[in-house]
Amino acid sequence: MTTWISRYRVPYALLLPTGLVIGLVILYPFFYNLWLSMTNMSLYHINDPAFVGLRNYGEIFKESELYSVLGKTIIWTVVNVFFHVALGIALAVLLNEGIRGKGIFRALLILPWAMPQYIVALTWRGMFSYEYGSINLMLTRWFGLEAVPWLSDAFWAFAAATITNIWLGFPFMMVIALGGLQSIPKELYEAAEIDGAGAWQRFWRITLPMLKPIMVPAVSLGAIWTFNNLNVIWLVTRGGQPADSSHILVTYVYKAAFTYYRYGYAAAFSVVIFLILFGFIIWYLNRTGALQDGVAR
Amino acid sequence: MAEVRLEKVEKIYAQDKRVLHNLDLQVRDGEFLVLVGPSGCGKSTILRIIAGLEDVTDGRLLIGDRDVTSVPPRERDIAMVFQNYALYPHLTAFENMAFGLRIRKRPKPEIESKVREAASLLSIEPLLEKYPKALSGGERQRVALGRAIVRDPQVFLFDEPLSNLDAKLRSEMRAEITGLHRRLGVTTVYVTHDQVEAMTMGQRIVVLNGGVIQQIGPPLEVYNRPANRFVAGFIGNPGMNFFEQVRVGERGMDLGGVPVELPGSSSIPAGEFTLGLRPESLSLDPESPLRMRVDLVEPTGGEAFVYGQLESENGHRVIMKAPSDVQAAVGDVVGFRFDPGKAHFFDAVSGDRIER
Repeated sequence: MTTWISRYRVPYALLLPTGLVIGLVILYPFFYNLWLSMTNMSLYHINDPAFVGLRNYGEIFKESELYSVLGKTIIWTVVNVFFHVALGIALAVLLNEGIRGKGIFRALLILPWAMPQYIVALTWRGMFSYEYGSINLMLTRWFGLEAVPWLSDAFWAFAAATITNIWLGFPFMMVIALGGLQSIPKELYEAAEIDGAGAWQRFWRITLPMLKPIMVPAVSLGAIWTFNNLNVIWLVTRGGQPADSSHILVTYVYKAAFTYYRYGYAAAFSVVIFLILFGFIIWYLNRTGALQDGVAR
Repeated sequence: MAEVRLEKVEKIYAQDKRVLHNLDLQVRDGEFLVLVGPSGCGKSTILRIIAGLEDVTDGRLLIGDRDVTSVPPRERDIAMVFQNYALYPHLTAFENMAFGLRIRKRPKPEIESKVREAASLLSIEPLLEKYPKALSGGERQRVALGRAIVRDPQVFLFDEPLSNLDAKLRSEMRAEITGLHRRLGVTTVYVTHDQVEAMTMGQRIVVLNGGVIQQIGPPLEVYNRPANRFVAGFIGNPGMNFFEQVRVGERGMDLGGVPVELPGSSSIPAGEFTLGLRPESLSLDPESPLRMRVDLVEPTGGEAFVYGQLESENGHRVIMKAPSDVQAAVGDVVGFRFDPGKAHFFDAVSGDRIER
């Protein structure tokens, strides 16, 4: 025992700070949340929470709200990630060609990523304003279209938040894809060209499959981030307005916890969200083979 | 199958960097032609122009009787094997070979049978389901060859395909590629910087330097009658010995102060020339007035290379190919002679061959 300790003292001492931080900011809150989810803690029982078993979970699954919010969350995630990846790859391909002023374009296109989400969300919210927002002004004055009730209609509010988040999210995928593109050897395109492939076929048969190994982890990260993206929805739709119709799971939980103070219920909901995400990621990584060594290439 | 003709081809990159100048070249129908030269001589550019991966600044390119100067690569009906194989890493060997046929939307059974046929020709059937990553260098090269064969093209283009292989594999693949050419009879243009590949594989070889063709001919003709000093020095290993400012008179020549009789010298005009001697036309001769100081003896097994300097005021470097049991040690001064019938003469200024 003593030899074991003395032998590994230095490595464990070096690991200790990291271990402490992980314990404090990840493990402790995780298990605290698990416990919380099985209590009735709320504003009434802030000091005397009682253990209620799985009652919160029962309530969640009985509520029809869960399924509609889950549906919206899935739409939110799929639409966002799809446009992040599609726009990101398309712009990366353009930037990878020898266009003039490449450096300027690259800097401009990365800009959305460098801005705080909070500022961006509020700016877009301003632009979506029905009467004074620049978007409606453009639509009506330049294109002669009807003004869109961006923030007062359930569908358009959700669309507004989605557009904002697409703008925020594509640079990440673009940077990843650009890195991936630069690692594709030029001869592959030459070989494909001689083999008879046109520009489209080279894109579908060489570029995309060659980007896959690098895009799979990026997409799974992007899906998690988008699924859990509280800021954009919360700020653009002002807490799920109109009438709590533009919620995704995390904003719904946030409202339950910090507007209605239903801590136990919100905690249980968080666990459900965690399990959904966890299940999705395991399925996705298995399906794309990212967890198996060397199959993706 | 088809002949390939480059007519007055000019290639100038940006900044007026001229790579090819007024180049005429004809690859005969069914011929195995090797382009050889030092790096930067323009040989790869010629190949890439034939492939359509580079366009010409001026001039014409014909494959068969068709002018393909501005036809995209995929419509030229050619196949190319790259130095780094350029296999598609995300596809199996089978799919790599099938790629071109799938692009051209050939029927499935045809693809299947063509790929299997090429695979059996190259003995790579067991590898068909493997990904390039799982293949060795030689196996990858075979798959790349297979990808070229299944297409049934009019012209094969090879861009230094063996330079990434180890020496033993390289000589195996040399034989394999020439064997394939004999069986398929497809017009082939092969680029290499390795003169051994050029000598052993080509039916004709084209020696290039600085974007200009120095000589075209069958390997032995190029070796035995190099058109100029560059070709003489480039082809042959170790390289030809050159002796500058050798005075040739009526009775013979003067080599470092030693008079040498020259049979048939009458056809060479009197004057100062560069003399070229292949290392194998030199031999040791203790009686000879020609003497060299030995710097290095390199036994290679079957023979030995003796490096030294002429014992004369200008101290020319001399390389001799000798039997492996050669009696010479570093520091020795040995006598040697050469076969005057095998001496080459080049113009001292232009470097052009002087015919005897």
